[in-house]
Amino acid sequence: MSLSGESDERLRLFLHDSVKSYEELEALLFLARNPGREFSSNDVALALNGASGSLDDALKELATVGRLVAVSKPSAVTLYRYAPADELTRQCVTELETAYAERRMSVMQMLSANALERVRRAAMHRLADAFRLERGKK
Amino acid sequence: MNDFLRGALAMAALAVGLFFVRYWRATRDRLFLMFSGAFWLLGLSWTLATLAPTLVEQSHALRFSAYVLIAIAVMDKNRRKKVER
Amino acid sequence: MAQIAYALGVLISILCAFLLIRSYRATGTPLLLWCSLCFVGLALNNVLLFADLFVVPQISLELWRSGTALVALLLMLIGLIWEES
Repeated sequence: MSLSGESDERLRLFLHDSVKSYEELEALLFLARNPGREFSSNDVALALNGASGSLDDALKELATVGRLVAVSKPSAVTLYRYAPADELTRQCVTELETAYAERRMSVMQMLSANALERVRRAAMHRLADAFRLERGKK
Repeated sequence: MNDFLRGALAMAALAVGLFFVRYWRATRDRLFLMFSGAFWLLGLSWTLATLAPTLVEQSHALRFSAYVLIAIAVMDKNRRKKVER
Repeated sequence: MAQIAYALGVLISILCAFLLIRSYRATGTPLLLWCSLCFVGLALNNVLLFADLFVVPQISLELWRSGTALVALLLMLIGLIWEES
Protein backbone atom coordinates (compact mmCIF):
# COMPACT_ATOMS: atom_id res chain seq x y z
CA MET A 1 0.00 0.00 0.00
CA SER A 2 2.96 2.28 0.55
CA LEU A 3 3.82 2.24 -3.11
CA SER A 4 0.54 3.90 -3.88
CA GLY A 5 1.18 6.41 -1.07
CA GLU A 6 3.26 8.64 -3.31
CA SER A 7 0.92 8.52 -6.23
CA ASP A 8 -1.96 9.17 -3.85
CA GLU A 9 -0.28 12.35 -2.72
CA ARG A 10 0.24 13.41 -6.34
CA LEU A 11 -3.39 12.71 -7.00
CA ARG A 12 -4.49 14.67 -3.95
CA LEU A 13 -2.41 17.65 -5.04
CA PHE A 14 -3.84 17.48 -8.54
CA LEU A 15 -7.34 17.41 -7.10
CA HIS A 16 -6.48 20.23 -4.72
CA ASP A 17 -5.41 22.48 -7.57
CA SER A 18 -7.96 21.54 -10.16
CA VAL A 19 -11.05 19.75 -8.91
CA LYS A 20 -12.99 21.30 -6.10
CA SER A 21 -16.16 19.30 -5.93
CA TYR A 22 -17.79 15.99 -6.70
CA GLU A 23 -19.66 17.54 -9.65
CA GLU A 24 -16.43 18.82 -11.12
CA LEU A 25 -14.88 15.40 -10.76
CA GLU A 26 -17.74 13.65 -12.55
CA ALA A 27 -17.86 16.31 -15.25
CA LEU A 28 -14.13 16.16 -15.87
CA LEU A 29 -14.11 12.37 -16.09
CA PHE A 30 -17.09 12.45 -18.44
CA LEU A 31 -15.36 14.89 -20.77
CA ALA A 32 -12.15 12.85 -20.61
CA ARG A 33 -13.97 9.68 -21.56
CA ASN A 34 -15.24 11.47 -24.68
CA PRO A 35 -12.22 13.36 -25.96
CA GLY A 36 -12.55 15.54 -29.00
CA ARG A 37 -16.30 16.01 -28.60
CA GLU A 38 -18.02 19.11 -27.36
CA PHE A 39 -20.87 19.18 -24.87
CA SER A 40 -23.10 21.78 -23.34
CA SER A 41 -23.77 21.70 -19.65
CA ASN A 42 -27.23 20.30 -20.40
CA ASP A 43 -25.67 17.44 -22.35
CA VAL A 44 -23.40 16.61 -19.46
CA ALA A 45 -26.27 16.85 -16.97
CA LEU A 46 -28.29 14.45 -19.08
CA ALA A 47 -25.44 11.95 -19.34
CA LEU A 48 -24.70 12.06 -15.61
CA ASN A 49 -28.30 12.32 -14.39
CA GLY A 50 -27.29 15.42 -12.49
CA ALA A 51 -28.74 18.86 -11.92
CA SER A 52 -27.83 21.07 -14.85
CA GLY A 53 -27.41 24.12 -12.64
CA SER A 54 -24.67 22.71 -10.47
CA LEU A 55 -23.02 21.01 -13.45
CA ASP A 56 -23.00 24.34 -15.24
CA ASP A 57 -21.09 25.86 -12.31
CA ALA A 58 -18.79 22.86 -12.18
CA LEU A 59 -17.94 23.12 -15.88
CA LYS A 60 -17.33 26.86 -15.58
CA GLU A 61 -14.98 26.23 -12.66
CA LEU A 62 -13.11 23.53 -14.56
CA ALA A 63 -12.73 25.91 -17.46
CA THR A 64 -11.18 28.60 -15.27
CA VAL A 65 -8.53 26.19 -13.99
CA GLY A 66 -7.15 26.51 -17.46
CA ARG A 67 -5.37 23.26 -18.07
CA LEU A 68 -8.25 20.88 -18.38
CA VAL A 69 -11.25 22.06 -20.26
CA ALA A 70 -11.64 24.26 -23.31
CA VAL A 71 -14.64 26.45 -23.93
CA SER A 72 -16.23 27.51 -27.15
CA LYS A 73 -19.30 29.61 -27.77
CA PRO A 74 -20.47 29.15 -31.35
CA SER A 75 -23.97 30.27 -30.42
CA ALA A 76 -25.84 31.24 -27.28
CA VAL A 77 -24.92 27.92 -25.70
CA THR A 78 -21.46 27.39 -24.23
CA LEU A 79 -19.75 24.16 -25.23
CA TYR A 80 -17.07 22.33 -23.26
CA ARG A 81 -14.39 19.98 -24.46
CA TYR A 82 -11.69 17.95 -22.76
CA ALA A 83 -8.40 19.74 -23.46
CA PRO A 84 -5.47 18.84 -21.23
CA ALA A 85 -2.72 21.44 -21.52
CA ASP A 86 0.17 18.96 -21.45
CA GLU A 87 1.11 15.33 -21.17
CA LEU A 88 1.52 15.53 -17.41
CA THR A 89 -2.04 16.78 -17.00
CA ARG A 90 -3.31 14.02 -19.27
CA GLN A 91 -1.48 11.44 -17.17
CA CYS A 92 -2.95 12.87 -13.96
CA VAL A 93 -6.46 12.63 -15.35
CA THR A 94 -5.85 9.05 -16.46
CA GLU A 95 -4.59 8.20 -12.98
CA LEU A 96 -7.64 9.90 -11.56
CA GLU A 97 -9.90 7.81 -13.76
CA THR A 98 -8.24 4.60 -12.63
CA ALA A 99 -8.31 5.60 -8.99
CA TYR A 100 -11.95 6.62 -9.22
CA ALA A 101 -12.88 3.29 -10.75
CA GLU A 102 -10.84 1.17 -8.33
CA ARG A 103 -10.74 3.19 -5.12
CA ARG A 104 -13.66 5.55 -5.20
CA MET A 105 -13.71 5.91 -1.40
CA SER A 106 -10.12 7.14 -1.34
CA VAL A 107 -10.80 9.72 -4.00
CA MET A 108 -13.85 11.00 -2.18
CA GLN A 109 -11.83 11.25 1.01
CA MET A 110 -9.21 13.25 -0.84
CA LEU A 111 -11.88 15.66 -2.04
CA SER A 112 -13.14 16.14 1.53
CA ALA A 113 -9.66 16.63 2.94
CA ASN A 114 -8.92 19.21 0.27
CA ALA A 115 -12.17 21.04 0.94
CA LEU A 116 -11.31 21.20 4.63
CA GLU A 117 -7.86 22.54 3.86
CA ARG A 118 -9.35 25.14 1.58
CA VAL A 119 -11.62 26.42 4.32
CA ARG A 120 -8.74 26.58 6.75
CA ARG A 121 -6.60 28.45 4.31
CA ALA A 122 -9.42 30.88 3.65
CA ALA A 123 -9.55 31.69 7.36
CA MET A 124 -5.80 32.27 7.40
CA HIS A 125 -6.02 34.64 4.46
CA ARG A 126 -8.87 36.51 6.11
CA LEU A 127 -6.76 36.90 9.23
CA ALA A 128 -3.88 38.36 7.26
CA ASP A 129 -6.18 40.58 5.22
CA ALA A 130 -7.78 41.93 8.38
CA PHE A 131 -4.66 44.01 8.91
CA ARG A 132 -5.24 46.07 5.79
CA LEU A 133 -6.02 49.57 6.91
CA GLU A 134 -8.10 50.39 3.87
CA ARG A 135 -11.54 48.99 3.48
CA GLY A 136 -12.61 47.61 0.15
CA LYS A 137 -11.45 44.11 0.89
CA LYS A 138 -14.50 41.97 1.40
CA MET B 1 2.46 32.37 41.80
CA ASN B 2 3.70 34.95 39.37
CA ASP B 3 6.46 32.61 38.27
CA PHE B 4 3.84 30.00 37.53
CA LEU B 5 1.82 32.46 35.46
CA ARG B 6 4.89 33.57 33.57
CA GLY B 7 5.85 29.98 32.87
CA ALA B 8 2.41 29.36 31.43
CA LEU B 9 2.74 32.58 29.44
CA ALA B 10 6.05 31.50 27.94
CA MET B 11 4.50 28.20 26.87
CA ALA B 12 1.43 29.89 25.43
CA ALA B 13 3.60 32.37 23.52
CA LEU B 14 5.65 29.50 22.10
CA ALA B 15 2.50 27.68 21.01
CA VAL B 16 0.97 30.77 19.39
CA GLY B 17 4.23 31.39 17.56
CA LEU B 18 4.24 27.83 16.27
CA PHE B 19 0.71 28.19 14.94
CA PHE B 20 1.72 31.33 13.10
CA VAL B 21 4.74 29.61 11.60
CA ARG B 22 2.36 27.01 10.22
CA TYR B 23 0.13 29.75 8.84
CA TRP B 24 3.15 31.31 7.20
CA ARG B 25 4.14 28.04 5.56
CA ALA B 26 0.61 27.51 4.31
CA THR B 27 0.08 31.00 2.92
CA ARG B 28 3.61 32.35 2.39
CA ASP B 29 2.35 35.59 3.91
CA ARG B 30 5.18 37.40 5.69
CA LEU B 31 2.78 38.85 8.22
CA PHE B 32 2.49 35.48 9.93
CA LEU B 33 6.24 35.05 10.15
CA MET B 34 6.55 38.45 11.79
CA PHE B 35 3.68 37.80 14.17
CA SER B 36 5.27 34.51 15.08
CA GLY B 37 8.51 36.33 15.86
CA ALA B 38 6.64 38.96 17.86
CA PHE B 39 4.92 36.43 20.07
CA TRP B 40 8.17 34.59 20.59
CA LEU B 41 9.83 37.84 21.60
CA LEU B 42 7.03 38.39 24.09
CA GLY B 43 7.56 34.87 25.39
CA LEU B 44 11.25 35.57 25.73
CA SER B 45 10.57 38.77 27.64
CA TRP B 46 8.40 36.89 30.14
CA THR B 47 10.97 34.11 30.41
CA LEU B 48 13.73 36.61 31.05
CA ALA B 49 11.64 38.48 33.61
CA THR B 50 11.21 35.27 35.55
CA LEU B 51 14.62 33.67 35.19
CA ALA B 52 16.69 36.87 35.45
CA PRO B 53 14.59 39.36 37.40
CA THR B 54 17.47 41.83 37.59
CA LEU B 55 17.56 42.26 33.81
CA VAL B 56 14.46 44.42 33.86
CA GLU B 57 15.52 46.74 31.06
CA GLN B 58 16.40 43.89 28.73
CA SER B 59 13.06 42.29 29.39
CA HIS B 60 11.24 45.51 28.55
CA ALA B 61 13.38 45.95 25.45
CA LEU B 62 12.37 42.50 24.21
CA ARG B 63 8.74 43.32 24.81
CA PHE B 64 9.04 46.61 23.02
CA SER B 65 10.71 44.91 20.04
CA ALA B 66 7.78 42.52 19.85
CA TYR B 67 5.33 45.38 19.41
CA VAL B 68 7.60 47.13 16.94
CA LEU B 69 7.68 43.92 14.94
CA ILE B 70 3.88 43.78 14.93
CA ALA B 71 3.79 47.40 13.76
CA ILE B 72 6.24 46.57 10.99
CA ALA B 73 4.11 43.59 9.96
CA VAL B 74 1.00 45.78 9.68
CA MET B 75 2.86 48.46 7.73
CA ASP B 76 4.37 45.85 5.43
CA LYS B 77 0.93 44.40 4.77
CA ASN B 78 -0.35 47.80 3.75
CA ARG B 79 2.55 48.78 1.59
CA ARG B 80 2.65 45.67 -0.53
CA LYS B 81 -1.02 45.50 -1.35
CA LYS B 82 -0.48 47.29 -4.62
CA VAL B 83 2.09 44.74 -5.72
CA GLU B 84 0.44 41.56 -4.54
CA ARG B 85 -2.95 40.25 -5.35
CA MET C 1 11.11 58.19 26.89
CA ALA C 2 10.19 54.90 28.48
CA GLN C 3 6.59 56.07 28.72
CA ILE C 4 6.46 56.50 24.96
CA ALA C 5 7.68 52.97 24.45
CA TYR C 6 4.91 51.52 26.57
CA ALA C 7 2.27 53.81 25.10
CA LEU C 8 3.30 52.43 21.72
CA GLY C 9 2.54 48.94 22.93
CA VAL C 10 -0.95 50.02 23.97
CA LEU C 11 -1.59 51.78 20.68
CA ILE C 12 -0.45 48.91 18.51
CA SER C 13 -2.50 46.40 20.49
CA ILE C 14 -5.60 48.57 20.23
CA LEU C 15 -5.03 49.11 16.50
CA CYS C 16 -4.77 45.37 15.92
CA ALA C 17 -7.85 44.70 18.01
CA PHE C 18 -9.77 47.32 16.06
CA LEU C 19 -8.72 45.97 12.65
CA LEU C 20 -9.58 42.43 13.67
CA ILE C 21 -13.00 43.33 15.08
CA ARG C 22 -13.80 45.31 11.96
CA SER C 23 -12.92 42.35 9.77
CA TYR C 24 -14.79 39.97 12.02
CA ARG C 25 -17.94 42.01 11.61
CA ALA C 26 -17.46 41.98 7.85
CA THR C 27 -16.61 38.31 7.41
CA GLY C 28 -17.90 36.48 10.47
CA THR C 29 -14.76 34.34 10.73
CA PRO C 30 -14.54 33.25 14.39
CA LEU C 31 -10.74 33.19 14.33
CA LEU C 32 -10.75 36.95 13.89
CA LEU C 33 -12.87 37.45 16.99
CA TRP C 34 -10.58 35.35 19.16
CA CYS C 35 -7.51 37.17 17.86
CA SER C 36 -9.09 40.55 18.49
CA LEU C 37 -9.91 39.54 22.07
CA CYS C 38 -6.29 38.53 22.50
CA PHE C 39 -5.12 41.98 21.42
CA VAL C 40 -7.64 43.64 23.72
CA GLY C 41 -6.10 41.60 26.53
CA LEU C 42 -2.60 42.58 25.44
CA ALA C 43 -3.63 46.24 25.36
CA LEU C 44 -4.90 45.85 28.90
CA ASN C 45 -1.66 44.15 29.86
CA ASN C 46 0.31 47.10 28.48
CA VAL C 47 -1.87 49.60 30.32
CA LEU C 48 -1.29 47.68 33.55
CA LEU C 49 2.45 47.64 32.89
CA PHE C 50 2.38 51.38 32.41
CA ALA C 51 0.36 51.79 35.58
CA ASP C 52 2.63 49.49 37.54
CA LEU C 53 5.75 51.44 36.59
CA PHE C 54 4.53 55.01 36.55
CA VAL C 55 1.15 55.43 38.18
CA VAL C 56 1.21 53.23 41.26
CA PRO C 57 4.87 52.19 41.60
CA GLN C 58 4.38 51.63 45.30
CA ILE C 59 2.23 48.56 44.75
CA SER C 60 2.95 45.65 42.51
CA LEU C 61 0.53 44.81 39.76
CA GLU C 62 2.61 41.80 38.72
CA LEU C 63 -0.12 39.22 39.14
CA TRP C 64 -2.64 41.35 37.25
CA ARG C 65 -0.19 41.90 34.43
CA SER C 66 0.67 38.25 34.09
CA GLY C 67 -2.96 37.27 34.49
CA THR C 68 -4.27 39.52 31.73
CA ALA C 69 -1.50 38.47 29.35
CA LEU C 70 -2.17 34.80 30.05
CA VAL C 71 -5.90 35.15 29.47
CA ALA C 72 -5.17 37.06 26.26
CA LEU C 73 -2.89 34.35 24.89
CA LEU C 74 -5.25 31.59 25.96
CA LEU C 75 -8.04 33.28 24.01
CA MET C 76 -5.78 33.39 20.96
CA LEU C 77 -4.89 29.73 21.40
CA ILE C 78 -8.54 28.76 21.72
CA GLY C 79 -9.25 30.56 18.47
CA LEU C 80 -6.32 28.97 16.66
CA ILE C 81 -7.12 25.48 17.88
CA TRP C 82 -10.84 25.90 17.20
CA GLU C 83 -10.04 26.79 13.62
CA GLU C 84 -8.35 23.43 13.16
CA SER C 85 -11.55 21.49 13.58
